[in-house]
Amino acid sequence: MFPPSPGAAMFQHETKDQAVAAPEAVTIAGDRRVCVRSIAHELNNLLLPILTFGSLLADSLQEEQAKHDLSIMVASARKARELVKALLDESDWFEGSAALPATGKHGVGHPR
Amino acid sequence: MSSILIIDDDAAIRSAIQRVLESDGHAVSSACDGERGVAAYRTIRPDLVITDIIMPENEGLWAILQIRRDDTTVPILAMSGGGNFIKTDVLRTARQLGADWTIAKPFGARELLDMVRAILSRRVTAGEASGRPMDEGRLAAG
Repeated sequence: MFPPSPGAAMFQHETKDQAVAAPEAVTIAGDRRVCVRSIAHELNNLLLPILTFGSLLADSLQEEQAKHDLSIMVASARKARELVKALLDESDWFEGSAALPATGKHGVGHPR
Repeated sequence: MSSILIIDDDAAIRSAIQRVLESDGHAVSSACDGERGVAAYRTIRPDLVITDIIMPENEGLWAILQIRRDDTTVPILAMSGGGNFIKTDVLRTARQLGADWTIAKPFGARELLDMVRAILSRRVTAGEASGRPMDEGRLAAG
């Protein structure tokens, strides 16, 4: 039997490294995604009372200045809601990208 | 006036939703997790159940399944601020398990009231159309 060639050993080494590196990359990406989604979830929960109580107060207030100030608060909360939605959308996109190798080395790459 | 049960682990959210619904004349009860929510449901028999999905103790999907085993007709509105651990559309899953309506957090008072009014009026219409006997409280809800 022939001994394995140096090239074969290098190939095996490279393959082993890649086999370890790819799941690690996916795990890190997964952790980030979980973090982003958890924060977004909590932010959404925080925004709900602001939006609902804000709307109720705006309907009940008589003073014009207070109504105006409150409308700015509610508008800001709505903008924050859109930001959180964008963050979640970005997280979904990131997840889809991270599940694939970063290069086309293995014949699998990002869809263009 | 209708009887509405809210299930959510967040006290501020329960309080906010309760205020909105009471301002519209409904009688509101609340529970802080799925298990207490199902128990409250069995005692109160509300006209509408509004439940969160992701909760630390006995989450909303479990509560929906339990309530659906008891009653196939009570409207269930599921709400969620987005899945936090897995990329799953939890509201879609809630619909598959028996929720009739879903709403994404955060929502404003008007959005919630519009949805609750639509659900309750639809329930009354469906009850009248099918000839199913309904109590006075439910008929008055529309």
